[in-house]
Amino acid sequence: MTSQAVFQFQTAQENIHPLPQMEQVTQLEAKQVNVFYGSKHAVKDIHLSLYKNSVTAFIGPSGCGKSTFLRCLNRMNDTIPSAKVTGEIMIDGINMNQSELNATQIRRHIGMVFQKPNPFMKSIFENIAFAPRLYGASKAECKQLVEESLQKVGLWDEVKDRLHHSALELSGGQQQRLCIARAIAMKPSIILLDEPTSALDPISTSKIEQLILELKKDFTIAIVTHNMQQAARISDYTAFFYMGDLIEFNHTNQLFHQPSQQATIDYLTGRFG
Amino acid sequence: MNAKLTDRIATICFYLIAFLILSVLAILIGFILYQGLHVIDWTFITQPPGSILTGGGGVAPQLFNSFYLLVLTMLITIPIGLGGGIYMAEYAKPGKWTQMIRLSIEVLSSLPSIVVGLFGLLLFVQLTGWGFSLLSGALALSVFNLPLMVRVVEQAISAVPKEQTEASLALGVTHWQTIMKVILPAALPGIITGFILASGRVFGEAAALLFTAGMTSPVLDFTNWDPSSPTSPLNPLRPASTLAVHIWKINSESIVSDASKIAAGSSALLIIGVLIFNLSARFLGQWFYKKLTSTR
Ligand SMILES: Nc1ncnc2c1ncn2[C@@H]1O[C@H](COP(=O)(O)OP(=O)(O)OP(=O)(O)O)[C@@H](O)[C@H]1O
Ligand SMILES: [Mg+2]
Repeated sequence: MTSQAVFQFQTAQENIHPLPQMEQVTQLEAKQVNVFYGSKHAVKDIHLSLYKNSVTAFIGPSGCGKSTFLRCLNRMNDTIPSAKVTGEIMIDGINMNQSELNATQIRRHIGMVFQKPNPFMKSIFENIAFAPRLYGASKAECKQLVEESLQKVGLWDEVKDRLHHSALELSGGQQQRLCIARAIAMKPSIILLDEPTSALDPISTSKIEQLILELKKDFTIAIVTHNMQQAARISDYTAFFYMGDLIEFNHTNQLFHQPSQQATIDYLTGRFG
Repeated sequence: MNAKLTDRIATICFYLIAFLILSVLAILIGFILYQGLHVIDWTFITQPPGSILTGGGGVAPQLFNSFYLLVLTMLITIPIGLGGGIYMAEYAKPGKWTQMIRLSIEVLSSLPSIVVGLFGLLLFVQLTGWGFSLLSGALALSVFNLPLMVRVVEQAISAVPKEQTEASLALGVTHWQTIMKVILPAALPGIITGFILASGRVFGEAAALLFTAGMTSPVLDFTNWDPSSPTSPLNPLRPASTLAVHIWKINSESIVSDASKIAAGSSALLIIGVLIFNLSARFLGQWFYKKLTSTR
């Protein structure tokens, strides 16, 4: 196979002009981020920005540190005792990666969706209302949030008659959309998705891809994916990780059509991964 | 020998073992019920024991004491058990300290209950100066029951999928709120089942009570609900013999004429009680699980 193969990917930007450089507003900037699990250096000196209202895809072979890096961005690695994260994660001029800053408060503004749909063992309504209520949302506000969020993820019509049924009755794809609804109900500025469609069927997958394109109007999105077609379809930027290093980071169509690193070319042409 | 045959033989062996266990249980329960069931009537469960001369009467105070002691014990052990279990499952970091706690729990849970009873005699009966009392008995039973309760809670919490915790933390919910509102509700069916099973064990315990709650019950006035009055059944500082202790006492040193009849009836009553605890543990656990996970 030649590097010609990379051109087979359809990218979302093909007919759209890439965002002009000056309109890119940085939402988050990671500087010199390193992660150690005990003595294992899992993420190495990563510098990367997420741009406002854009989708950034993280790709790379299994075990290269995509999830680990993603989890730095909302301080979820704090929950793993052996993990140590160094470096700066700047949002609005503040370094979020300081132990003095309350991780709980940070996570509230940065939503996360996991690989395996993980709705709470509660009703559909409670899944969404649970966290906002703890942050002081009134009964009426909760009700409105539930409807609003379910509308946004296209689940409202499917579940509006059984809001008080257990969320575990939903199909996998519906559960995942519920998890996205749950995340956006907190009105975060950034949403992190870690392989959100890898456990889903093609139809549910395409629904979620549509949804992500919809959501980027309101949120900044980072998504880990193993599916390069998916990265090409929905992302504006792509970051290629390899063995804990960020090898290449560029506009998605640039990275897919004119990769500058040999490792990227090898990965895109399927020589490893 | 081919795989199919091996599989056959193994299957038959397992069936035999299962059948053996079942038949031991069936024979035991059948025998006790056969001996005792006909003794149990309304008088037996509502009347105090008759006098030494006349015999007869029932085991009402003992039955009441068994339940009351169970309630007192649970009042003490549920909060501590919950706290300990939550600590072990959610806060204890692997290390020397945690290992030591775990070891202590194991040692405590393997102590013979008669030893716990003697310890209770020294501490809760003599040192406190309460004498044989329900409270001393409840404290001794708590010592005996606590390790099990901690383990029940810890296991139920650990069985809650990690993803539930992650989902909650990722929403900006604090660890404590996550424990209270996500983990504990999800662990509740397991916790309740475990608590009821532990109740069955407490309900039938005798050895730990011989020297703590005592082997006698004062004459009780079931219309007197003032806990400070010595004839009130609620008074926690009165001595009390439970059903299990009563059986032991009657069988070993009673001189009433119908001792064996009373012992048989009490045994049947005790077995029925324990069976009810075990069955209700199953049903309540399942019911809670359904309620939590499906339509409400
Ligand atoms: N909790 C942990 N403790 C120790 N090492 C870990 C832990 N989580 C991940 N690692 C290690 O860190 C490295 C990066 O893992 P990570 O999960 O970030 O990879 P990934 O790129 O997301 O892989 P995948 O595509 O398979 O999800 C791997 O070598 C992994 O073994
Ligand atoms: Mg991963």
